[in-house]
Amino acid sequence: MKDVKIRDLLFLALCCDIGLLAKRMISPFANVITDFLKIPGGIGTAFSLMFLVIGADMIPVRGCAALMGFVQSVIMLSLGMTGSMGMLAPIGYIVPGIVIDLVFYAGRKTGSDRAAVMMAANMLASASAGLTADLIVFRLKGIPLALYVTVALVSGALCGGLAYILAKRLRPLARTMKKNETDGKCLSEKDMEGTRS
Amino acid sequence: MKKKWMIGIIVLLAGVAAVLGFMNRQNSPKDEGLLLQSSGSTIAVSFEKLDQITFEGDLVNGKGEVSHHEYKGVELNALLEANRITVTEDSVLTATSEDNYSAELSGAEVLEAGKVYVAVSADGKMLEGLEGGQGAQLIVFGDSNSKRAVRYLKTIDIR
Repeated sequence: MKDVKIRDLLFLALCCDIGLLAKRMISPFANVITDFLKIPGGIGTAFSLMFLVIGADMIPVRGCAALMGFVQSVIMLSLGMTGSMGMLAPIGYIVPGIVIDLVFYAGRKTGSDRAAVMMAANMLASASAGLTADLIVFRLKGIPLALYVTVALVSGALCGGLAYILAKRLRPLARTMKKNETDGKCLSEKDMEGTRS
Repeated sequence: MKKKWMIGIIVLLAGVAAVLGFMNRQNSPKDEGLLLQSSGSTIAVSFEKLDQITFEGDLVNGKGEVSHHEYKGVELNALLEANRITVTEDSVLTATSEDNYSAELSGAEVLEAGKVYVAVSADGKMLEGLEGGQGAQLIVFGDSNSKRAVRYLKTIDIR
């Protein structure tokens, strides 16, 4: 983490902010679907987590998604926008961040396809966010819980695909990549070596 | 090939979500009466089954004109307690009508005796819903105008 440049941290901070803003913006539209399905959410969170996935993909540093989740939780706590989770809201932000980090770690270890890793990261992070919220607040069981998690997985998969498209277009702008890195694999911390100016 | 595989997963999950969504809607309580939403769960309260009391008081309209009314209904705090929903002074309640007009109440206001009610009849006349039938209105005594007297009351969200 000490090798990370200020501009990388600024990019991660931007991803945190856009993630929070995106959730607020998409909520009215997402609520139309979740109200119809009679579940407490799942879609807006997946969209919000998409920006953490983009950040984790662009800046391949261990723990950066968890760090972004932590920053998001601090922002929300300081603004008093903790939602139904109250003081336990940070758990709901950090847990999906840790899941994203774990999926990227596994993806980098195995040299998996970048699109598949981003999709899996967004899916599992959305599902973990849903399960955390359910454990702390909603206490859904049976069919409503299964539906809540499935909707989170579906929207996570779609947002993961969108994250891949966005990250693909953003990657040439990132100075942390090797100039000729186009093999479709996830960036690793090795890829950051020798790219510092 | 990988792309097809990923699309296949999304389609499969969407299919499962559609089936579960259908089952969930079938099993959910009908949206009739007043809906109390708290901690992610929704309780539907039938207007007919409210433990009604008679209450009266003054309301002030937008022009500052005061009118006296007699209502039948239930005190909001009593209604919430009957449904095992606890309100604290720090709670925030949002009352929303069938046409999405909404008003906010603090927990302290709801806990204050004789201030916030859900009325089902006013001055001997049944309060109707937006599409006819039994409806309800939120009554908040003591306001400088009756902006929070939400007609066609449908949902009360407690946070």
